[in-house]
Amino acid sequence: MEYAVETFDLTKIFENKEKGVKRYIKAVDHVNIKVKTGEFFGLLGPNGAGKTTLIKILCTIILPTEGSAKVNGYDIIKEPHKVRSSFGWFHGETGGRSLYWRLNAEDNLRFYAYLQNVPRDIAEKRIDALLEFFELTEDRKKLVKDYSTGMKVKVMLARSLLHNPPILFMDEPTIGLDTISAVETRRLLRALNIELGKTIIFTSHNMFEVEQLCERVAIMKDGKIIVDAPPSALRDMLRDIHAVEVEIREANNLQEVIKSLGGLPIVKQIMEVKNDPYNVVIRLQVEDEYDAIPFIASKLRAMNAKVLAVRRSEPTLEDIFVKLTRKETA
Amino acid sequence: MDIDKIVDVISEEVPRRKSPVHRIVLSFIVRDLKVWWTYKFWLTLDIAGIILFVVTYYLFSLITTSQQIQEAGYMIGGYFTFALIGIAFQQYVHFAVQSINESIRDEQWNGTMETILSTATDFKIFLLGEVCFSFIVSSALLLMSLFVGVMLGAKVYVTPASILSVIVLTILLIASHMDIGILSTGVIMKIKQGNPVTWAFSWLSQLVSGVFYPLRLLPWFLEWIGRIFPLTYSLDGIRLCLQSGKDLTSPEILSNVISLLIFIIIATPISIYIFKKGYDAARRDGSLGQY
Repeated sequence: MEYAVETFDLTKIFENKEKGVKRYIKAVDHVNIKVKTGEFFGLLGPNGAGKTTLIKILCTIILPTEGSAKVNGYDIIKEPHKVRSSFGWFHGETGGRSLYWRLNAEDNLRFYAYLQNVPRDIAEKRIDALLEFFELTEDRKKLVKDYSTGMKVKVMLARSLLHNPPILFMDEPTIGLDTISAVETRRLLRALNIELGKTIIFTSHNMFEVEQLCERVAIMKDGKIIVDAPPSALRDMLRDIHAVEVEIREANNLQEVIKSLGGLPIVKQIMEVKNDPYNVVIRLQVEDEYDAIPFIASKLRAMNAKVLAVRRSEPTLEDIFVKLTRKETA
Repeated sequence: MDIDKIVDVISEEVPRRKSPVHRIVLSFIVRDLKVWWTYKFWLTLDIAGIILFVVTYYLFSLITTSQQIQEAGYMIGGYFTFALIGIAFQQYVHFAVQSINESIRDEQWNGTMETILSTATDFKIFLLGEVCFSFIVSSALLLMSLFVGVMLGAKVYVTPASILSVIVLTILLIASHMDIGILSTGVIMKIKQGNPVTWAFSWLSQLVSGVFYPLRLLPWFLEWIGRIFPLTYSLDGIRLCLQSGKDLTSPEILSNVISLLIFIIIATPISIYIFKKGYDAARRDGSLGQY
């Protein structure tokens, strides 16, 4: 089979009623993707872009409004049972909630293994191996309610691999993991992809992960695929992005400060304003950070803002999303 | 453990066949038993609650006469046995009406609903697995309340024919009330709040189906409303078997059986239709996992 996942004008429109007025939200908008069997495919996009909805449609949890899709060669609407035997699904958005907290790790895994038709002896072997890999052997008898978020994530990861499916939907699989566990998880996914030929559909907010793992990346925005390219193309896009971060303690005239920074000729646009109880961090996209830093600092001083720092900032995926969205609008 | 080792373990060839239904159902029962066991306080309350209920009606029976119970056709045991049967078989009413929607609510509450529905297990087997443990608990509580009742002096006819008839009537009681449970689950999957169907049904059913008093004591219009509810026919049949020694060969029992069958034949397709509508609507809205 050439393609593990194919979508054909896949569309999902949610109906929302607010104060008696119906609103329609296009969460997935005529998406056409083809993921080759054995490919490591990245699906990126800002929050609310439609990634999780798209994955849930492919997992047969949500019915599409229009279009169709095939997973492992099976139609998601006509053959949902066959589709469900074909994939393992990790959904990081739940933050460990999708486990039985009043069961221990091995009971959680055993239950799912049986639902996934894994014979008992093989299930036990895999449970032992996965718990050992994720360093949960010592805590296997502890109720999941007493686990940290990272430990819950590990149990969820183990669960998605138990039945050795040909396709893995990994929706932010390293969310909540410590650095070492995240590295190990990435290594495992890579090995499953290379050595067992598993097709992996991977979502993440971490550019480094995407670059390291994915052969091809699609970026979603407002339900549409706006880019479908290798990660090297994204790296090229990042090369063009120069960002500066401004941290100020307080400013009585904050709105005026933001407006005035946005109006500077050297500033392309304001990417983000983060408020916390003690300070405000403003991320700006600029023409050139070395010219921009002293210029911005003197401007802030002139406005009597209590400046804590003006520093160069590494471009992020969010910057690419903003850049691409701006291009789309233009 | 190194990556190669885990890749070897995961990739071991597995014969591609479905797990037998009984194994999947058993795994649901084991799961629910283990979860239930962690709530020892609930367990104690469940058992204490049913015993206290039986004792309350025992004390109540001390100030009532058996005359009206006998006039209603239930010959032995008096008011206490009459109420005991009502209380005991309420366990199955609660199981049949509530178990499906409570299980689905629990899965949604746990955040596990979408994960389970994305597995290879068929939805019908999932539902069967979800209700089995609840059935076992209801059966245990029913037997426990009957045992406590008999210890306190309740009298019943125990013959092979009457017990067989009670089993048949119990199956019909569960089947007819399961229809209400399935229908209300369909509604709850769509509206995601409260449970108006179950609430109205349980309240009216207790009031007019003769759980705690014979139907003929009610005003004529309430008695008439009572005849709409399957619980009326199930309890009447079960009481006639246990308190008057009748069985399926008796015209009164047969009439109850036929009424229950008619209810099941009409209600089953309607409840399945509404359930399917609710399930499809939740899949369309993307709200299967929401509560």
